[in-house]
Amino acid sequence: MMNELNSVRTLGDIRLLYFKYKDTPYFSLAVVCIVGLIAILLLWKAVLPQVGSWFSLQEEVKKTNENISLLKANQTILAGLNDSQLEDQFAVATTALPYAKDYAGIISSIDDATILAGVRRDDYSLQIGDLSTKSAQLASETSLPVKISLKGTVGQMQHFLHDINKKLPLSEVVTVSFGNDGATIGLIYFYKFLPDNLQILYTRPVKTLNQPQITLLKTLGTWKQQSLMEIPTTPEIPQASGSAVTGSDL
Amino acid sequence: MNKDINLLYSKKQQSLNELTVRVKLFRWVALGALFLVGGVSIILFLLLIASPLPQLKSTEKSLTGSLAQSHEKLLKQTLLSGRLSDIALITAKRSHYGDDLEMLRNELPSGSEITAFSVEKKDMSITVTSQSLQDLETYFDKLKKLTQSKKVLSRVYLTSLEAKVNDKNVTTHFEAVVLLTLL
Repeated sequence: MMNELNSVRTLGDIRLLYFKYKDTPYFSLAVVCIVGLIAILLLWKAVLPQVGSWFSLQEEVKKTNENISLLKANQTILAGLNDSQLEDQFAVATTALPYAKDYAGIISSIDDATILAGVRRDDYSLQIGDLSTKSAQLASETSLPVKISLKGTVGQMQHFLHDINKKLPLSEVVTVSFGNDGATIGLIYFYKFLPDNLQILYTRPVKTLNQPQITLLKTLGTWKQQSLMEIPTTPEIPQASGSAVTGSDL
Repeated sequence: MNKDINLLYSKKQQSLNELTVRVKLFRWVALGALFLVGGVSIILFLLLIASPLPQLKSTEKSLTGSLAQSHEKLLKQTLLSGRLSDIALITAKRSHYGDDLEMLRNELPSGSEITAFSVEKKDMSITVTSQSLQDLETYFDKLKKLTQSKKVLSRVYLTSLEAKVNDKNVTTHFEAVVLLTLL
């Protein structure tokens, strides 16, 4: 039979073979084999990829549904936000922690605190540092050191230390040296650059403010309001013997 | 009668018949498998066609477009939230030397005063002057109690205690330098 198959050359040879074997079990066996082969091919080439597609489609549907839920939730949150309130809150937060070195804010806060405490301010210097380098701009949170010299009593110094913590931009007293000749106070003023690669993804959940954050905003708002209220009614600012802004690389 | 004796079919014919029966069975199995695979393939194809994904994508796109109109609002809210987290961290961690000094001054007996102080990180040094040595002792006791309560101070260390005298060799006041470690 193998010899016969090998000698097949034309269509007539095939027809001859068909008529010779069509009633034998070999023919049926060949048909079964062909059908089985087709079934396997169909399974391999059509069904399995379709199963894969179906699973990935389900995954995609699930992901899209999640995205839709998030988008809807974000839309609801944003719809509930009051534009002017958000603007105010944002202004308060950026005054407290500015995007850059806020020299005017720093000088104003020191002036306010000294006036409130009733101390006399002498020289003070801001150590500006490097602004132009990329590393300075990429630093996530930075601070500007400030050194001030004050004259007053220990009670006044205590008030100053107390008051400066309630002034915006936010600062921290790092060193204090008080004696008969007055006090030298080292402060650092905080600021934070805007991230360079800030990406807003609509499918990322919008963070609503929690209760501690709202309370913090209220406190900051009060501090900001106090500063604003104090400026117009400011008594005559004691004359500084001089102020120096040192070390600029602008 | 011997069962092996078969006058109707030859042995070859018999095995051919058995093969035919088996082949018929295989044929049914193969056809069944083919139909099964074909059926599954059609069902899967219909499932893929009937997927709600295009509609969902369209909804997602329209929602994204709607949010894009509030982009600035979203940006501000995101920045505000991040900034407040940073501010909370700063306010929680920064020093409150004014409060510490107030507490130390509140404990002073009348007639005593802090004439000098310096502070850096957690180390504070105060110079207390008083005309009465007993007042100074009372103050030290109060500082010790503050240390024991573990609320403000963790350590009190008396660096020096001096009696200041005038030209007539009379003691005018006492001066103590105390080192404090803040909590």
